[in-house]
Order: sequence, then structure tokens, then C-alpha cells
Amino acid sequence: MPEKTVRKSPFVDRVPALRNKKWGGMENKESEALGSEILKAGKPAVQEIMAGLQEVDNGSDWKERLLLHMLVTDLSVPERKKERGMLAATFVEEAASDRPASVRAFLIQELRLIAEESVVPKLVPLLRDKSPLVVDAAAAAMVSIGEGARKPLQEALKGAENHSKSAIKHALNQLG
Amino acid sequence: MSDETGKKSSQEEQVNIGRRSFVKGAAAAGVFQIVAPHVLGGPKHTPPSETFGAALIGAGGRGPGTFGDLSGRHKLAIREIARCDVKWVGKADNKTRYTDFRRLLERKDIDIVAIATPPHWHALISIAAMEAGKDVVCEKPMTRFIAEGRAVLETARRTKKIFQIGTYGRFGQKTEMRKIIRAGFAKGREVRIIRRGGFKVGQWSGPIQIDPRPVPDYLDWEMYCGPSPLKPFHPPRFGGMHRGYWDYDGGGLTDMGQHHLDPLCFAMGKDDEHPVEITAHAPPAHPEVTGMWGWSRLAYADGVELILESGEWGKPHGLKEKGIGRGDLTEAERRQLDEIPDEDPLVGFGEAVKTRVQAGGNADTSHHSVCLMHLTNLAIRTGRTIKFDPEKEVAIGDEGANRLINQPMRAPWHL
Repeated sequence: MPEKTVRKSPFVDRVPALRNKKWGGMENKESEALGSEILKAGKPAVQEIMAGLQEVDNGSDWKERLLLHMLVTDLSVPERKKERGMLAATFVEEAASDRPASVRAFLIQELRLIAEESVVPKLVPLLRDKSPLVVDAAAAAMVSIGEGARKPLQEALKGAENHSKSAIKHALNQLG
Repeated sequence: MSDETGKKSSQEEQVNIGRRSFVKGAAAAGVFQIVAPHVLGGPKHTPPSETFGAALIGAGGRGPGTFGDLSGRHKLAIREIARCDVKWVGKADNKTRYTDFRRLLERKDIDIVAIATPPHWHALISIAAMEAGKDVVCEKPMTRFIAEGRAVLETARRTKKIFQIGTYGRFGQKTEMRKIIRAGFAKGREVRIIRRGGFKVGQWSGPIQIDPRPVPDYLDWEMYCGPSPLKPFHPPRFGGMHRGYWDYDGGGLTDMGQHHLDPLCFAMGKDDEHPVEITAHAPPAHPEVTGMWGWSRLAYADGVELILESGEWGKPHGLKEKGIGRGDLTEAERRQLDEIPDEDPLVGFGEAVKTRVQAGGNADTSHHSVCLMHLTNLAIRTGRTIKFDPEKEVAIGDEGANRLINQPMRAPWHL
């Protein structure tokens, strides 16, 4: 499904260009300021960045991916629980949308680093997604959540079929 | 082959029984006048019981070199049984050529496996090989993330199979500093070792704007991705440039780091100990490709510091190296040091295979050296100082970091 044309987040333009097709980095002061401003602008700013993610993984959306990952890693510390909750909720909401599977899988892979029990109810339906990419990513996120995901995984296993069934079983095995 | 207790394996027993039966029968028949000398053995002949069936998994790139080391560097008499590679779709006969390492490992005539796949496969294949009763030489880096290393070393301990990492700088290192640090004399003194350059950071950073292509007919892409997420086929993800993707490796740091840091780890006497605090100077990391970093500072519990400096990004840390030697000790400390017996020399892989004494670059020591790179990458990827519990191998109070220390695998693969 072709992506809709969307307004580019102004934050994206502040990421420096690649050098020889590679990520050459940016000054820490600039990245910290960028992260703070995005979070200050809140959920709409995060969604605007997400809107720039592209179905075809050809690197054209690398700045969006970089910014989203930067937010995730910055907030993956205990003391930023409140902001993390907002970010995780935004990620899981977008992952459950009608965006292409490759985009949703990326969002769930990122969510894995910050997902807590609170997002489990919204992750569970993704374990039965028709895309194996989404199912695999959701199963991995459940494993990272840990014990709190065990019962919901056991429940989700009931009636699961094909790829979903094997991914859920595998997630339970990895939980030990 | 004999095991660690000196008991002969059933395979060797069979060979010896066969030889005894032959000699007895031959003597009765009076055939000794006509047999060639090599049949009975001699100084230049390797008896069958000392010839090892060997296989290579990951036949491209470093593979042939790693396999060649078995007979070259390690001076083992090798009989090549088979090779395995995911790029042999349609060419595998499951006799001498495989695409699935699990089928190769089922063979009982393979004693030693050389592993030269990309690093995201190192731990899983090393574990499966040792579980299947094989000794292992595995290319560096030993693993892709920290929890994998713990699983490999526990398998090596449990199975008592020989494991050697494919880097040999620790053999022949000087031992004075090691002995001093291990004796506890670094505590309270300034000791800082610096490794500058050689990490190929820019060279092995991943390229970003690459169009996906159809998977080539000859390649089992699903198997190649293995425990990592299934991604579209971008040519650089396969065949050398894989080093630049977090899915498969950790950039130039992990590619070159074990060469540089395994010998340092030995010389510093830290090959059974992890640092407790790690700081890196680096820009925000991309989620999929490895990127630039300037330096990292890894501090051990006794105050000894290791600094890695790429010289390829940002400002230098500005600290100076300060080693420790006998001249830095008091007379009383020197006397104490002299009373500590020297350690046994490191055992090479070839000797280890024959004597069943663990190799010098074994799973324990290699895990501790590769963790220096993994911990540095952890600080790079999270952008913060990591406080590490060296016993539990977890980041203290940092769940985000711990989710990179132990990463779920894609079905059916798991540790």
C-alpha cells in the first residue's frame, strides 16, 4: 500500500546529512536539545516523526528512525518513567494502526527497549497479526517485558495458529 | 582422543582394537616383510587415532583461513569432512557440502568445528557444536551480545569440550603487569591502559541508503538472518559489510576489538573479571547501523582503567597512560610478588585438543575480553554511563541497557 504524502517533521531537518552514505554523528549538545524539544512538544511531535516512516526500507527515512530511536534510548532509564509511558503508548498505538507491516515491525522493535506491562494488552492482538514480521517483533517485546507477559502469552497461545502459535510458544520458552 | 580423565573415547578404542587385531593377524600370517613403513607408523606418520575429522561452518571470508589454521597454526592432523554455508542453496549434497549446520553437526566423524560465520551465529553454533561433542575454534568476535557469551562459557564448562577464539595475541604476552594486578597491588594506585586506533570505526559503519534487492537464488536468507529479525535483503547486510549492522555484529569495534583487547585483557590480569563502570563519548546511535564513537573508559573494581580511543570522532579524552611494573612497588610488595608461583603457560588449541586441558583463548577468557566491546557498545548505544554488576552480568538500575545485554531471538533460535 503506497504511503500517504505527509508533512515532514521540522525536527527531522535538524539531523545532519550522511557522510558517504554513513551516519557520521552530531554534537551531543545538539542531540540533547533536539530530544528535549521533541518531548516538550509531546505526542503530536512524536506522531509527526512516525508519519515520515516509509514502507520500503531503503534508508530514505533514516532520520526519522534515528530520532525515534534516540527518544527510546533516552527514556529507557527508570527516572523517566512518565515520559516513557507516553512514548510507549504512542509507539504501540501506531503499531496497531493500518500502517505497512514493515513500519509497524520497526516500531515494535523499538518499543521492545521501553515496553512495560502497561502496553501488554495492546501488544497481545499483534501476536495474531497477519504479518510474521509484526508477530515476531511483538513476541520479542513480550519476552523483554518478562514475567508480566507470561500469563497474557499463555492466554494468547490458546487458539493461536501457524506462525502466531510458534512465535508465542517460542516467546514462552525464552521466558524460561 | 582421550577425555580429561585420560579415558579413551569409544572412537579411539575402536581404532586401537582394530590395530591390535590387525597386528595379531598380520604376525600370524607373516606379512610384515612386505608392508610399507607408513602402515605401522613412524616419525613422519600420523596414526589414525591422532587424525581429527574437521568441518568448517561459514565458508566465505575468513573461513578458509580459520580452517587452515587447524593444520597450520595448531599443527593438528586434519581430515576435512565437510563445509557448510548458507550461500550453497542448490549445491549442497549433505555429504561434503551443507547449508544447514544442524545436519552437519549430526555427523559422528567430525571431532572439530571451525566457525567463521557472521557473529550473530557464533554463540548458537558454538553451543550446538559443543553439545554435539565437537571441539570448537570460533572466529572473533566470540558473540554479538553479553548473554550469549555466558551461555557459551557455561556450555564449554558443562560439556568439557575445547573452545578457542580465533585470535592469538594473548599467547606470548608479558606477564609482569598481570601478576602485579592480580596480586592486588594496583588498588590505590593510578593504573590506566590505553588502546588507541585500529578499530576501523568509519570503515565498518553501516551504509544507510541502500535499496532492497531480491534475495539471490543461491542464498538461504531466512537461515542467514537466523536469530536476528528478518529484514529485506540489502546486499551490504551479507558478505563482509554485515559488520556495520547491529543485527549481525557491533561495527569495527567488535570486528577488530578482540584482536586488540584479548591480549590486553590477559596482560592486565582481567580475563576473569568485568569492568564495573563504562562511559563512552559518542553521538546518538542509529537503531540499525553501527556508527561513530570517540572513546570509552572502562573502570574495574580495583581502580584499574582501560581506555579505548578510536581517533575517528569527537574530542580525545585527554588522559595519559599509566602502567604498573615492579619499579612501582615497595620492597615488601616485591618480596610478596616473588613468592607467588608463576601461572602455567597458555595451552594452544592443538595441544588442548590432544591433552583435554582447556585452551588459552577459551570461552571464559574470551567472554571477558569480548564483553569489553559489548559494554562499550552498550554505553554508545544508550548514551549513558553503565554501572555493571560483574557477577550477575547486568546493568545496575538500567532496564533499557539490560534489554541490549540479553536480546530475544527469532523462532526457533534461542540460547
